[in-house]
Amino acid sequence: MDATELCYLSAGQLSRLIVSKEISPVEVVEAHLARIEALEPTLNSFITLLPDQAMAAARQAEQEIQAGRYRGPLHGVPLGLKDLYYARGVRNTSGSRIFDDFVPEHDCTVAARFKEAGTILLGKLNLHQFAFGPTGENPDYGHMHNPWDPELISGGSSGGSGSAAAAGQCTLTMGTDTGGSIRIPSALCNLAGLKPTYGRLSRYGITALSWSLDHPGPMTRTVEDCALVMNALSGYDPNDPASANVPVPDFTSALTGDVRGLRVGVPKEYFEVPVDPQVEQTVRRAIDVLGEMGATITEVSWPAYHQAAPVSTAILMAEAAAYHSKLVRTHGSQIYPPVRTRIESGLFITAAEYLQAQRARTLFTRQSRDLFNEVDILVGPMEPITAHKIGALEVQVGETVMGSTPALTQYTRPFNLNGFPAITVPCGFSDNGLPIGLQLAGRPFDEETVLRAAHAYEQSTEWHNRRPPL
Amino acid sequence: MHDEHPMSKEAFLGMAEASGLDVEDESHMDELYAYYTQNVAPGLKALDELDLTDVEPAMIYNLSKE
Repeated sequence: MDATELCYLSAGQLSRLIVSKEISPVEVVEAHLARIEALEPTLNSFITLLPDQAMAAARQAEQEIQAGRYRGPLHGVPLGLKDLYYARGVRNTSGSRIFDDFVPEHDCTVAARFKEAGTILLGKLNLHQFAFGPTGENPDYGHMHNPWDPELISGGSSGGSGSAAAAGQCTLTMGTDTGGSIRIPSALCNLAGLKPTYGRLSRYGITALSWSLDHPGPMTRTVEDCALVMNALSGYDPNDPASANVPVPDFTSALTGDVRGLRVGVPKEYFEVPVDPQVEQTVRRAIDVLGEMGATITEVSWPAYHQAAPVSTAILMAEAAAYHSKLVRTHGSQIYPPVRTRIESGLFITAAEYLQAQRARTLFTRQSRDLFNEVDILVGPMEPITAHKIGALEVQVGETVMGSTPALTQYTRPFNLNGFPAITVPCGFSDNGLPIGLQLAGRPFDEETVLRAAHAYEQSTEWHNRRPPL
Repeated sequence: MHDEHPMSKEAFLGMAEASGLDVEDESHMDELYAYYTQNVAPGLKALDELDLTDVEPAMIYNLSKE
């Protein structure tokens, strides 16, 4: 098989070829390392590459599979981790040169579970510094670039994860999502990106940004691959105080392709905020497709939606300031100025204001739960715009000029605040060839319904099969 | 909790100093104050306007699991 084709196979497709011994993990990893080498000058997806370690792991996987010790569908599949997931013996920068020499002595739970599943770690992926920004800017290791147009942002903060998965540099990547950092780059790069329910995947050993808003999750080219990753990573972890001790289903069994009878809610508030007309038209067409497949589409009202940004801002800023308070005092001048400013501004939020925000969060979550008495999922735009120029501080959204950060996070933050699962899937392209995403969100710990609807939509369309012009 | 103006520059600098920031770096302090007043304070004011009677804060730690 052509090396480029090999790099664009999904984990599901690769696993079927690997288990039948039609291809070897060694071939797969060699192809990916060659593609990384070819595309890194354009994309800058990685901070640390692990070619020798990856080849050794691939040879081990090949031997195990030949000996009949197949570990499951992720065995021999190439993986990239955002560079804030600790991997034992591999430096972990969190996107800052301050931590250039920090080498963790243990794996985060996610990395440990991926190892058990037999994945091959190719390297650590670039990110917006300290995961604190939605564009994928990083002066220390270089900005990330969108495979669909390298002059544009890949999105952030998991920008390297977005570009690497979209360009076929990795089969699987992992991001973290505090205010949208999985879903933003996934939407801008034409990926499926799942932010699971808060507590579903362990945060242990992942550099924090905001403890109560941080969510780890997969960024892949298919919904099936998100489900495969969820199968490998889910389960209670006593090392994470927020880990939920809840049953873990087989997420792939939810991928039936059937959405008949599914109650789909479209919050009218999603279209009361600025949104590019072409994005709106594309998303409304995607919602119609779900209706044509047998789902019941209803407009719903979610007045609390408008409160999500101020409430989550107060929580995010205060928690990030607490986490990084020593760092800004000792190394402030070495932090990327916009990130430093965001971190330090949280120092001016009082304890009473933080708790007011947490009270407002209680109310917001209660109202979110009530909404799901009427519907099974909520759908709408993932982003109000397509990817913009790297470095742009303001963007045109329909008739409105607004800041890049509030624009990119306007549909993401409600689901960090309530912790409910949300996924983006490709749903079309703009006239200038840039991806548009559809967001589907569900009840807490009901990733199965979210994945089922996303997969059914994905399989009824061709958007996810398009490749960037690299 | 908030008046029309969220926090005076003087009070801001006092808090900055108490937080261990370098208040001698005037241009940085100006930038930080501008960011706070434009991006953080309006949200805090919006929080103040919510009716949170009988609502307790969300807490992430669940002792029943331990």
